[in-house]
Amino acid sequence: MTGDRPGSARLPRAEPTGAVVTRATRLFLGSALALLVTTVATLTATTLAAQPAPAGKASPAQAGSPTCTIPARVPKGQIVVVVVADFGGTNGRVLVTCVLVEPGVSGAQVLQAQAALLGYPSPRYAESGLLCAIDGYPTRGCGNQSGAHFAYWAYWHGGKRWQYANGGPGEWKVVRGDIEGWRFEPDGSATPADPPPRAASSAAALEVRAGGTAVTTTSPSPSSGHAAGPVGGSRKGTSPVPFLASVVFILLIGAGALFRSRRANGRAT
Amino acid sequence: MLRTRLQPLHPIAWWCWAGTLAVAASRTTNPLLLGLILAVVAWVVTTRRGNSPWARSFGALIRLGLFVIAIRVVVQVLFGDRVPGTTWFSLPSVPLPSWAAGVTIGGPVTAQAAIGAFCQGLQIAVILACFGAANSLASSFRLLRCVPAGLYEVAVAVTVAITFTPQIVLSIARVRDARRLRGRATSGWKGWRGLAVPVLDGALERSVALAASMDARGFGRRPASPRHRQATAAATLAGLVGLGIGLFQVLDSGSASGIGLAVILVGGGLVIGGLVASSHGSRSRYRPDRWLVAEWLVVAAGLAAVAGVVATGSNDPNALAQPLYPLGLPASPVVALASILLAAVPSAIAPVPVPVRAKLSEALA
Repeated sequence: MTGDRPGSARLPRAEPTGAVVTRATRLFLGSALALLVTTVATLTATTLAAQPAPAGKASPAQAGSPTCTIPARVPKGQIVVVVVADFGGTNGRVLVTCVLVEPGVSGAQVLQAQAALLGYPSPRYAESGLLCAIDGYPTRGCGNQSGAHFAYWAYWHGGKRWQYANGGPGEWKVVRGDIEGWRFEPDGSATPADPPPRAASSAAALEVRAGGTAVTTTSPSPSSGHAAGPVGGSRKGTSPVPFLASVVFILLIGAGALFRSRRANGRAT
Repeated sequence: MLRTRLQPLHPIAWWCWAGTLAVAASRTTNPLLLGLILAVVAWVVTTRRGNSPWARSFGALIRLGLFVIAIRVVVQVLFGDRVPGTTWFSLPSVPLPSWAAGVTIGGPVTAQAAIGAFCQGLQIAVILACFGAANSLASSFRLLRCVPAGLYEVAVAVTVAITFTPQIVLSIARVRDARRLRGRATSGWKGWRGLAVPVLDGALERSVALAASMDARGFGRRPASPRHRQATAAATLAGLVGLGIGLFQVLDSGSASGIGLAVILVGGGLVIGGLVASSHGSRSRYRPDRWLVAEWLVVAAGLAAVAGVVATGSNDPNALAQPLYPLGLPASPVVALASILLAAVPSAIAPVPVPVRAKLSEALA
């Protein structure tokens, strides 16, 4: 939440906003907290693991670092937000997208804009509001648990280094120059000890350049990683007829019950 | 064996029926399925409840359910997770420090958040309605007679647990009458304020008094040796704990249900073993409730509803949930709807309860 933001002139400092974790994330964080409290050893180990991780992971990212280009002229009333989506795995694909949005929209809306821009399926959420899939990946499941580990999309905020988000994307309000990081953890611990996205965390290192003609994305290995493609056909529209028929039917039974109950009460008094 | 005219349906059959419907409700947040469960339960209650005082439990728990839905939605809107989606309106928000992550005050309210909260509240309300239906349809005093002697160690707890809800409903009626006679408010906020303490106090007191009087009449007489008693009590207790854990595992769709089933089997075996071992020698029963064909059919009707919902869930899990991303109309899964309709069968096959006054005069004649 109090994550470092890029402080360059082009990308001014953002204001931290109160964030809310989705229920599932809260669960994960709660269990992590319990672990931290019970064993000081775990605490130190986690901190130690968390500290060198960004530095260690940063070097391969610098080499063939994915970048995105922003258009020469950003329309008035819009800002550029960089979305880094790391699809996980050992040679997984990393998508960097420069998305044009209005300032103050939520991280969830930025993801939605990214999917629309690339022609991927919209982000999928669980009933609790937990993010399940970005760009159609994974196609099934949501935060699936195996032992104490979860297959989930970890949410990071860019800056001098990646900062594990305290809250969900529905709460985070983006400002100019924000870097939104996402990394799919097939076997994550749902704590800040999970590895951050494999890309530079600052706009400068992501080589966000002005002067391009369109918003573009690049990724190191487009062939590997996730299999989801652009959305083919439109979503199949569901007919309201069975819904309305069911509603009428249920109301009839309910009205019958109410009528009988009223009549019984009338007889009793 | 034929059913006599005075014999109502076995109370355990009603509890099994209502319990299975509650299980079906706990597996779905689809408002259509929940609404149908509610309608079916209401229909059966209105057709088969007697004119006993506790028959009003259903109405009381329906009101409690409405209260639960309101609380669930209001808490979600004011303090809940800021669920992404289509924003309806924004409340002024108070930024909280980072250590308070997970709590918000105000912020954007999305359609997804409100509708999701409503469906979850509706689910709890329907489960409460099932509980109310069981209390309305089955006499808690008859149910108490079915409690095996092996539960003596927890006899007071069992008695209070079983009779507390109907006693509350009776208590509300008594206290309201008393307040009306004294010319005090019986409705609105003032009425409720004066009602709460005497109702809770009176209901608990009457339940405990009932437990004590049953104890005095030898409800759970002690088996011969204390060691035998301790062993059976330990087995029963361990079995009950196992049953609790196993039920949780099975009902929570996120857990592995295989382990849950195994734990339920082991726990159930322990409980049955403990109860059988503890109830050597027999108690005589006055006019015992019999388990006849109608009882089997009522239980089967409830099981059919669960089977239909679970089958739909394993076939197409999305059909059991209110679609939120994208927001849409809930599905109408035919199998689940039809199987829940089957659960209305008790309204036709269960014996019609004899009105209390008629029964009394008939017994006296």
